[in-house]
Amino acid sequence: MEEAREEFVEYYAKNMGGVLGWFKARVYTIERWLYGAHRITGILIVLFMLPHFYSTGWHPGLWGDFILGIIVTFHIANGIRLILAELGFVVGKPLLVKKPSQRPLSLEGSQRYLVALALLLFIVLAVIWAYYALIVQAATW
Amino acid sequence: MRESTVMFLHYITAILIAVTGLIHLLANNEPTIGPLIKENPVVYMGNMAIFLAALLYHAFNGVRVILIELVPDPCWTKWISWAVVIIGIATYVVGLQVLLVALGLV
Repeated sequence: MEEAREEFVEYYAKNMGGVLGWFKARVYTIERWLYGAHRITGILIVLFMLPHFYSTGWHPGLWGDFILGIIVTFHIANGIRLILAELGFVVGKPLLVKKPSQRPLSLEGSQRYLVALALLLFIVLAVIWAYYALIVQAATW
Repeated sequence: MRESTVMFLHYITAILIAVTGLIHLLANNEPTIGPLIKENPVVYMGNMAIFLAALLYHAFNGVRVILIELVPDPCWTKWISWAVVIIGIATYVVGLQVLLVALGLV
């Protein structure tokens, strides 16, 4: 039983689940969901860039621009959180996680507020973008 | 290059993209500020050169990180890294040429 649990932790710590492993976030924390979303949005932005480079001036249209803006604003808001966490500004005290269901203590404390702030920043930026893309810019189409 | 240096540059380019990408958006869409940026080729071209470099570094390093995570094998990692560097530099050269032609500077 103990060995199986250790194998489980080792398996998911390496993310050996492949691409499907990104979506296995049900038993994990909100940070795990944000990780998956950050990765998916990053890939989507790269996919947008390819035709935009090939034919400069190409755009995915009114609603495509809106969706692209939402994707980019999420990537920006979550990216700011990741940079701050990476540089060690708002990370709690690190402690070894022994069970898969145990929350890493480094994610407690000020990290909770940072996650909330990142999501709030995402909503604010998304609303600003929605106003610009769907109301201001739509008038010129 | 050390992996920590690569990832530090990943974050630096992220901030650069946020700034230069905003200027890029304003230059092409904002009716009042846009023409002011676009009529100055040094500002527009310099912004685009930094934007393109930062964007390509960030995008290709992101793709590289995903690939070496999915295929955690030292031999694969080395080849993926070299392929990404070569494709990235080639794309930057082509992109700069396209920009210079579009601005009528070449």
